[in-house]
Amino acid sequence: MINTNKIIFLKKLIVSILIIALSVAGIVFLFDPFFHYHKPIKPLKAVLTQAEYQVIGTLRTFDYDSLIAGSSMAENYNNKWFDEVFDCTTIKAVKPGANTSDLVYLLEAAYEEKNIKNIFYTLDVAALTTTVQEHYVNEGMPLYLYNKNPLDDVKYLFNKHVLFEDIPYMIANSFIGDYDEGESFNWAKYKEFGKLHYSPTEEKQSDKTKNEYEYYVDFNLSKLENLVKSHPETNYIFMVPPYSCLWWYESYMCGTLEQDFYAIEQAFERLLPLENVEIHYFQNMEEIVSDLSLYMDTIHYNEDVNRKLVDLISTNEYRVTFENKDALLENMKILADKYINVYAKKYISNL
Amino acid sequence: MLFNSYLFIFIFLPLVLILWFSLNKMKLYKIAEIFLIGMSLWFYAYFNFSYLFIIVGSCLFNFLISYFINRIEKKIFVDSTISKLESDSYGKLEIKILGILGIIVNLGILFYYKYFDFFIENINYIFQKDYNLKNILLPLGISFFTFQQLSYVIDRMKRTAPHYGLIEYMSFVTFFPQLIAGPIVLHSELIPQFKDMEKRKFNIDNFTDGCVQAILGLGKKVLIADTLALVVNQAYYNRYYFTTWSAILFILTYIFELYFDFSGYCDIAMGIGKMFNYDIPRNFNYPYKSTSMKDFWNRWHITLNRFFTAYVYIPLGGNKKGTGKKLRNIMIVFLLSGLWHGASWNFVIWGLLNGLAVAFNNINPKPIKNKFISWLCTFSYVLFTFMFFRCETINDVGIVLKGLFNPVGVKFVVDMAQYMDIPELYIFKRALEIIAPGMIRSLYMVAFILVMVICTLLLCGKNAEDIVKERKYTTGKAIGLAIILIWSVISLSGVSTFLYFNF
Repeated sequence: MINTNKIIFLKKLIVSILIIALSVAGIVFLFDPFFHYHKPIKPLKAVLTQAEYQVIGTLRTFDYDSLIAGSSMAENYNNKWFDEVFDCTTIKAVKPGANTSDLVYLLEAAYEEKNIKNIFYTLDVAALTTTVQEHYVNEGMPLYLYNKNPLDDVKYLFNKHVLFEDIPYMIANSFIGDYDEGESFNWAKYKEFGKLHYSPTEEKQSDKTKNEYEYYVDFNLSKLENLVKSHPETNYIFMVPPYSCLWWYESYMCGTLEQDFYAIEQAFERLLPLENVEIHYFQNMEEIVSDLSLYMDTIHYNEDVNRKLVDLISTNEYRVTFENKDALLENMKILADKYINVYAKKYISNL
Repeated sequence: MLFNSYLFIFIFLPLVLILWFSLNKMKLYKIAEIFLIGMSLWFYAYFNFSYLFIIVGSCLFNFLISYFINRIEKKIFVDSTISKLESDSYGKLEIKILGILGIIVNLGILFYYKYFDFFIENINYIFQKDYNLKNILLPLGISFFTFQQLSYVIDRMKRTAPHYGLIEYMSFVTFFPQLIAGPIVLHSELIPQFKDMEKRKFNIDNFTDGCVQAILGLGKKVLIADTLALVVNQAYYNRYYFTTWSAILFILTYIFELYFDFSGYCDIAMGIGKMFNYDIPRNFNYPYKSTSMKDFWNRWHITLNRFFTAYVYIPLGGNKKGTGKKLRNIMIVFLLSGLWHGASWNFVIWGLLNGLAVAFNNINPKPIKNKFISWLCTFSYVLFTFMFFRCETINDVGIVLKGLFNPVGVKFVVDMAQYMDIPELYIFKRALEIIAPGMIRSLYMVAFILVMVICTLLLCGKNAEDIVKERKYTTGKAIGLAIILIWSVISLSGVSTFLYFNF
């Protein structure tokens, strides 16, 4: 015999589950702190702090015509600096520790949605020499935000962290304090500069041979080259950031100095001929590279340096051309020696 | 696949239930069984496809043992020249050989996957050798399905179990609710239920009860055990800082975690079984209310103890050959039980300690009469033994013990509470950061105490199975269960901090 109490109870249970589930999913959909479905609904702000979770959504749903692309080196730019100087609307396509394939993946995702006027691309030497990686997909990444499979959105719509942490954080930053949307993914404000956590490599390692890095450089540059060529409508402004003199020292000690020079030289060779490319080379900014009070480790500098670089791009002062590239590299080799043997060694001797 | 996963909850379970009952309604019984086997194998092989061959191979092997025994049995029946007297002994040897072969192969597979490296480590240690370890990844649930099949092979050898068809047999072994973490269901419990065609019809009564028990189990596992695990794992990582109170709290939190984790998983298994109209035996019966270790082992992991009693203790003579042999049999059972739980000396010692206590209970002429004191003694002993269960090495047990006898302050207790950094506390944490930053540690402490109090109340109250049996169907209960379910579901996914930027 059918127990009517149980049928009623089961109905109540199912209805309760549906109501609560739809409420939870609805709240996440409405606030959408990872911008998977839409840009922020006014008056909420675009609170962007977790690149791995949020960048892909912003690329697909935000209004923009220019992108800042890069690793952690690019995260401290304020989007508005580019907007003002280059008269565009900029957001970031960044990933901490990004290699070339990561950034190409993000940029291609952006091209699927938008026409892009400018890409301000921070060209990390490490990303050119790193191990070949065909795809963006990393172990542990929230791939449900990257693929277009609506079924695995359950991991986003029913997610305790999103509900209890990310949404309240978004609301709080939208209404309390003065969150600057241009400072997306900025980490510099939480860090202390001038007090480096650094232990120098003590033993000089043998220099890498060309065979050991040539393939990687070629692979990564081919990826970039193909991307640039397939989008002639976009201005690619590559910036080679000014790592500190300690980075140069480490490069020398780890036997990668030749490799790093080779990567830059090849980047010039292969990217400069492309009409929609500009390269700005900042590694020869001696006053910055030698001033370790601007850095928090061997490569990461403070926001003032970021700001300065933006202004220098607009003046073309550090722009690389066919005419100056060889001299620039020759001078850089002399300067690198000074970085290593004068500035870095002086700092290390005081440790 | 795990019960506590989106795939299982949103796709796998609804799909299996709908198609199972639909196929049976269309009277496509064999197809329904094959479908259930297929889905169970998908469930099993979800994380590692190659282990499919192990479980299927294991099932086929045991089925063949039973098949050949069956052929011998048939011969006895068909051959009219064999007299009744002869038939009792006819084929006995062959059957015994087949049965022993079955036992050896089952245990051999288990040994290879679970104990081989442990064995080599000990050989290397004792004989100062350097044999390579194989670092074999343990196939999921191998201890459970091996024991399940061992019981069948032994019963076949003893001719107390019938021969089943391949599909029936595979349905029994692979039935997904009990496949990975038990309970250890016997063929005599499950196969007759599979054969009962009345049970193939959707039954709203059982389905509702099953939902209730499965939701409660999911809540126990995800909301309680996984939260406690945050504290336990981090505390264990920092075990060098233990003092008396933090070491006690660590073990206490761990035994709560263990109970809610394992019994929660079993409740889900039983609940899903009920949704299919199948009864899966209970595995826990208020174990922390035990008043002796003998009592504890009648309430904790019941189906495992039932197996050891039936297939080890009794064949060894049980309690019928004098006190000495009884105690020996108890010790053998518990040493094996310890080894079954894991290939490590910690588990062996854990088994030994439990065996000693149960043996003591069996011969103690003057058991404590005061119930509270006997409960306290038992609970304290359980706490002590589970320290061996949680620690990964004997050395680590020593570190925890050292902490236990280091009565200096309670600072680490407060630190332990902070490991419970759950998203539910985020808003309170942020609010306190603004209005009273010094109170944040207190917030964690309060939350930790609250969780421990909830655990204690739940342990004192009714377990999931008895809540189902209450048959109270109120609106409040429906809403409460819906909250538990959705809260558990939203706890399955997280937002990780990517550590690359950990300057």
